[in-house]
Amino acid sequence: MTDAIAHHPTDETLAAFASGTLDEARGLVVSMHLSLCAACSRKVEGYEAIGGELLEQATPLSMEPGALRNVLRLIEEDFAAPETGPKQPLDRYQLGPWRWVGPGVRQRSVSVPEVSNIKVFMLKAAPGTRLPYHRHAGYEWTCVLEGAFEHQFGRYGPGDFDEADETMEHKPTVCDGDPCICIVALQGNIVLQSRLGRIIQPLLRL
Amino acid sequence: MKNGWADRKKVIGKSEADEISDPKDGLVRNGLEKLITLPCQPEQDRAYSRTMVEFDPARLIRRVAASQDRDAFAELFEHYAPRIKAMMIRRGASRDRAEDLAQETLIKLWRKAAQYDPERAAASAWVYAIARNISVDESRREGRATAWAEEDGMLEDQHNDEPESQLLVAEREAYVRSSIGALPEEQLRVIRLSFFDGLAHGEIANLLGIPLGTVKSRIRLALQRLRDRVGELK
Ligand SMILES: [Zn+2]
Repeated sequence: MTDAIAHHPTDETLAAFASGTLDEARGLVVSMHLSLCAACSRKVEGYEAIGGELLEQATPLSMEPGALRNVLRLIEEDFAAPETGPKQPLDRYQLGPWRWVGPGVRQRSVSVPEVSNIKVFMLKAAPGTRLPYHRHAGYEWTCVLEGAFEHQFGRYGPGDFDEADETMEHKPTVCDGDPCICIVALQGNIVLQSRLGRIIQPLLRL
Repeated sequence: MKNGWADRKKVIGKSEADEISDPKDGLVRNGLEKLITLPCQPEQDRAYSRTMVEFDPARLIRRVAASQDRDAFAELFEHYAPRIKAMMIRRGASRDRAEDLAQETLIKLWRKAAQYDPERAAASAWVYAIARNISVDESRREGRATAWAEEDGMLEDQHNDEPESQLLVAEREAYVRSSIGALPEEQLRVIRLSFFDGLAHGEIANLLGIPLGTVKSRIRLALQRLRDRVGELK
């Protein structure tokens, strides 16, 4: 599947991720993409090499006397706790139950603490579902986990990453086949364009 | 030999700092100062290679993973903890907190040592990623501090102004190093503010008093230049 990924985060986004400066919500969506995309993972590793070199060049600041002894003691006490294997990005978050939010559309919350009006949730939409035509008040970052949707910028399947901001309007349609499951970081409220959309907006709780 | 040049440069940088309290550091520094003026003196060469050139973090991490080697760990600690402490302060931690976070990073390094893959990443990049994660967790715990939002000159410019030929024998790490050194100052600055100081692009714009678009384009240009020089930056 990996080589089928067509839509990636920008280099600037990957660099921000590598430097640890994305907010948690966007960072999580980028992590989900990275867990599926070897090419972007390599880029992030390249950017981490920049961080590593800046660390090497840093002017050292003396540690407190006994710091090493203290650390060795803590390691001693906690000897049986080596960390093995990478964790999946979602492992540290609780997922809410799938809730019906509209015809063919379900949503579950992801317990990322909300900072500056950014929410993270997963969306599951049945094949053929037309999501309401909408505009964003902030950004909406999406990583597709299963299935696919399409809008005017292309088709988005598993691993594909979509960065939408307030300058875009789009009207995604879920492709035929499997239900489409995405993880979404959404800032602000989306602005639905249609009357039906405005009616169901409260249901979407977006 | 690959770390020799880098470490020499680092220690020279350190001699300019006001932070040398460890007598061992003083000895190393004096040795190096002589080495620099008398580069062929065998006594100093031996001292130099014993103290610095043999520092091979990738091998040390593997020794920690394979046999919980405390001596190897101590070497890693002495090299990285003081640098991570500096990074944590730049990222907004108090001195005390930075000390704790540097210790926490090294504990994490111990625990994760078995996951380190030297085929994939330079040790410095791997250590950086651990420190970055701890710093990110910290700022999420504490809410973002803003006290550091001024350039305090703690990280003096250690621009790499050596002829490029000195770096040709070294490995990929050296290319990253030289490429960073070759960035125009304005690009290096935003890269450092972002990767080391952990400032978001908007914060960099505020700090430098330049438009966000300028920050973004400097970062883009810098990444482009680094990629051009380092290839895929694998
Ligand atoms: Zn990708």
